[in-house]
Amino acid sequence: MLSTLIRRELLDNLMTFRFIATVVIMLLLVVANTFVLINDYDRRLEGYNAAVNSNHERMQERTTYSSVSWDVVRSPNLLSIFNVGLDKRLSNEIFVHHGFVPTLWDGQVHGSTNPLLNLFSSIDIVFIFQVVLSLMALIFAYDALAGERERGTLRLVLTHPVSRAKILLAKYISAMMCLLVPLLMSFLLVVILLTTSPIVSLKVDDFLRIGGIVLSSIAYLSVFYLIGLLISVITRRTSTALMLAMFVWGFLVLVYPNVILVAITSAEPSQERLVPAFNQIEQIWEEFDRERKDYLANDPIPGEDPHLGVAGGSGFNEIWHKAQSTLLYTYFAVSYVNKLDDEFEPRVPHVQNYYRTIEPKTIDAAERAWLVRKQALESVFFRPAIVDRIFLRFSPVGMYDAATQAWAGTDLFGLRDFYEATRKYRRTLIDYLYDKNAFGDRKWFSSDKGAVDWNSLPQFSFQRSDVHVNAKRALPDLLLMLMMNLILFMVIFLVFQRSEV
Amino acid sequence: MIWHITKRELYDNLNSLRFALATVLLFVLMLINAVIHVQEHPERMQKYHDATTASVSALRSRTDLFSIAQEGPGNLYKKPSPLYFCAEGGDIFLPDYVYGISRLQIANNLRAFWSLYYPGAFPNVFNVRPDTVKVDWGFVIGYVLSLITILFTFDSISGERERGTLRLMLSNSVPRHTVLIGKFLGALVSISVPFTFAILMNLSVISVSSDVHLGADAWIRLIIIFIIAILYLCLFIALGLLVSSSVQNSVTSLVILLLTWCVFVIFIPSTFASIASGFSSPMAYDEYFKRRNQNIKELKEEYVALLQETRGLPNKKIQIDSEYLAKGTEQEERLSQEQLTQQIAQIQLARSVTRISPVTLFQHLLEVFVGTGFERHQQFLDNVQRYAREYREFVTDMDRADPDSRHIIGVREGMSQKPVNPESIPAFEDEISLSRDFNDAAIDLFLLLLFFVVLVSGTYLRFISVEV
Amino acid sequence: MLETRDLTKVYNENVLAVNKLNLKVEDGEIYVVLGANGAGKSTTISMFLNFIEPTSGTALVGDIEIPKFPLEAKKHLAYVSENVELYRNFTARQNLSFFAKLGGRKKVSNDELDETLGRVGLAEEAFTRRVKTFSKGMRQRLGIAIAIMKDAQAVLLDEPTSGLDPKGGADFLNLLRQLKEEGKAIFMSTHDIFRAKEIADRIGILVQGNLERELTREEIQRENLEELYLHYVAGYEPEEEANE
Repeated sequence: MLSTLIRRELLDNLMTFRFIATVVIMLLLVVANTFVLINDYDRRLEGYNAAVNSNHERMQERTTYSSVSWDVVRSPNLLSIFNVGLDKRLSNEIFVHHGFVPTLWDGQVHGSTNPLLNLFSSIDIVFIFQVVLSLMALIFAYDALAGERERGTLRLVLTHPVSRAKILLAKYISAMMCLLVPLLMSFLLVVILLTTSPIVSLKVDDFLRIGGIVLSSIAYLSVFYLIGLLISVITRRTSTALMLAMFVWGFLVLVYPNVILVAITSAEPSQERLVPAFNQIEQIWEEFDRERKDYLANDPIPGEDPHLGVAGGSGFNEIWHKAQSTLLYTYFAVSYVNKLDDEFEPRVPHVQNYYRTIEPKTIDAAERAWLVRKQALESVFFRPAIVDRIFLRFSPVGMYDAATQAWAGTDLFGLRDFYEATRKYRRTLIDYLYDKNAFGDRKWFSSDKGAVDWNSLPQFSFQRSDVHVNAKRALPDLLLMLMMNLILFMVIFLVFQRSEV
Repeated sequence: MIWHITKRELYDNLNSLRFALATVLLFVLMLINAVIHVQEHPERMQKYHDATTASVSALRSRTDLFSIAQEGPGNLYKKPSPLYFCAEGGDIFLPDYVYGISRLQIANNLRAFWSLYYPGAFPNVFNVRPDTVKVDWGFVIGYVLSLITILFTFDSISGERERGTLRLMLSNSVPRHTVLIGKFLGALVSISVPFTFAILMNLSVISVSSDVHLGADAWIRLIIIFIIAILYLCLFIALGLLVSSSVQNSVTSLVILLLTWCVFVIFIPSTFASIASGFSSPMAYDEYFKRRNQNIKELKEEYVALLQETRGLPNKKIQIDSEYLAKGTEQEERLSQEQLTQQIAQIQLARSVTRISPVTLFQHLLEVFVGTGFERHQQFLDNVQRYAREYREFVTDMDRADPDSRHIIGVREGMSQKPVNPESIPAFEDEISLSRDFNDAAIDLFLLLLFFVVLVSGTYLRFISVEV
Repeated sequence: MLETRDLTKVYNENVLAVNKLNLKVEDGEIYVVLGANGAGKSTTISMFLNFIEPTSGTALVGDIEIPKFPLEAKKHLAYVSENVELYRNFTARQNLSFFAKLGGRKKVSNDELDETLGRVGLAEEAFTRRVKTFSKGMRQRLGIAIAIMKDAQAVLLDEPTSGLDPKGGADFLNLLRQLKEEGKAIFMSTHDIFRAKEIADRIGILVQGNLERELTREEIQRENLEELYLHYVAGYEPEEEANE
């Protein structure tokens, strides 16, 4: 019985112009954009490799331990082809140093050739689905019930011993089968294009992630189909249903996601809330500076000069970085003396002692400042971003976007993993320095007795999160979509059950 | 007779669900737009005002010609448009200032003169909030209104044909073009009425607010923008009628129109821009800095080598200083200009390619007349460059006017020592002119009209020969 | 056998469409209900088919209460509407096969479909034509083919002959007689007095929801049906039924 209904629906749908037209347009869009996106990925990958190499070269030129710092580079995420999220936007190069805990706000952008290109919005595969799939689902659904009712075929069907639930189910299943054709074909095409591209190599995990994106797309599609079906069941006439469906589409896809954010942005994070945190951080560093100066004052060789008057083939550098807007407040002492005059030789142990005492204090101060900074920055920058995303979820578009970003690893959490990894790398760097007893070493500030050998320096590597972490992050939104499906289906069922034909 | 048909169309539309929904949607969007502008604009103006005041007062605090010549005018700021609410134009991705400061140290006591340097804007590096499109008129008209237009016109002919009323109508002695014009006007009036009221509401909210002042120039621009919006609307009505008269049933018509809309309005602007921008790759920042460092290094080496020869010849040294300073300054400015030119060429190519989409044409036009976006940015850069010449001429003129000066620009001892009247130093004032805007808009306006004419004649030919 | 017991339908709490209707259609009998527009004929048929729920009372097919067991009841009911609407993109054969399967048939052979289509008088070339090219008469024939195919105990017809040409109408009545011979209970609504007289075993006159008069075969022959009908209907202005 069900299969009879489904077969009829399928035949009816597959033969229509709307089906063929949408499939063709969708595939064209997907293929064209995949080429563009792969090219773009290629360019970004080149930029990444260039940045890694140039950083490596720069590192090799450094001769003293105190200049140990590493510009860590984030590689472009391959799955940003599906949903670019924050992957292209946030900083992709960050400075790692023992006296400074890196955060999202301290990064830079490497390899950008033309910042003006941001004038053009970028498209990813999920965006195409967001727009076209939802439209397609509504076009399929709006007349599913209203049309049959208007033509009278629904009456004829209902004179047969068929339950209404079965009719609904048949409509749902067959429409989903039809709608899945372009969806799966698109994904298949994208994957084929990806695997045949020489620059891309997909791993098993990536296939699983793509599978997650497919799953989310199906749930999204189904939500829109059911919205259309709901409209179809509550309206008497197809023309009304069509109008309503189109306006609902325009609202959910086009208007709501843009308007809601603008409307709630008036509650901008006020920079004033950063002031107390900045004062606190300032205190931490001033305290550090006081200790430092105390140490110098108590040293048998008097003076406030941390280099104790030592001079040589250039130079000593002390830098304070401050930026209130991102609570940046750091202290670097970098020395790269390559020629030390003999007259200063007796003072060298004092300098060694000084750095041996001060550098751990720098690390400590940096970490204490980081605790304050983290909290303040998260409350000012992260919380509004999270609130935004909650509001976006009132439209299925928001849920879909969030779920696919999570699968692709281009969401906020995926990006935070990178900054987390840089902080971990900083710890490794510090361990390395302690290990080499570097702070008290002559090579800390001077290379006159030989440069540091960097070969044993641990390298930075960033592994993106496991698939199950992606899944865990995507799950809430996926569940939300499934729940929405269920609720919609139940409402449609109840309304249809009670409606007169 | 036309009016008779129009009236019937109007009556039909005004009573429909789509009319009610469209009206509500337009009013809500326009209200949000106005409220946000009223909130944000004073801040924006204040920021510009503070920045320019600081810049000018720094400029006016200098009295000797040498430091005026060396330090330069400071940062030069772009004046925000009072009509920002009409088109945001991606302004956050365009830097709103140009550096006009001295950045290059040639030798220990030889610092190059100021030069123009064009920074990039990276507003999103720290921004973790989701992307949005600004709800400006460009969005409301370009996207929402065009979609509404499609929903108003997709069945205007195919629907009547389905119901059989078209046969009935044409069985009277009415020429077909009259029917077509009547339908066209009917759709135009029924969409432009809520649209016009929404715009009037929007403008009254904005102009009533005491913090935002719209001058006469702004009102003229608003009228031009309104006319362009109506033209854009007509284009979509013509498209709707064309498809509607070409196909047998309304659903097919709607599907064709919606897909066309999606492709032209949503996808083509971004996809084509991405493709076109792949054709060229301007100088990257890494390369810029590499070349700059290389240049400086060569310059320094040359300078130091020459300096050895001038030991004990102070006059010769001054000559050489002046020469190298000019070289260094020129070299700095040439490099940043080169980078900028390449960047602009890339954007211009991408923008030309995307002109295939009417929504891009419309947005270009809107931006030009509003005074935001890329064209405006180029105007700003022209203004800056003109001002830079003026400023440098001012320095040479002042120096030439002083008979005591040795007329060796670039060295303190070689230049006029007379104090300069701070008021006489030219200050940068960013200006926009309507006539220049028309110049910039000409191509886009022409293409939009062309689109319209092609669609209208297509619709006419189609409808004349259609079987009912 | 079709039966109603005090069948009542009130629309919007105050519009009485059908009032305590009691009637019975035996197997092998054609019952015709006559009435003006809005008399409650379609509402009665809709209640037989459970398209709408009765306000009170019940309707039965055999001994199955329709409002209580609608799915079971529909196995024994076939329906032909005033204007048979079918899936327009499907051929006559596809439509018939689809509805046959809906009626519970597992497999239907093309021969059987063609035979039924032939029986209702459709030309062979029309079997594989899309329904959207069909005339009204052809669609009505296809509608009765669907009813025949279902082989249900009772057949409900809602003004099936309106708008048919004389030949079509006559053919249609012949088909009805054949169904009657097979022992089906046939319930037909119409306002065509002459066709009613020609075919009915019994006639009910429905006026504003009330069954005013029931005539047996003999009475139909004896009385002047036309006068009788006008007598009952006169004085009552035909009204649009609010919810039909």
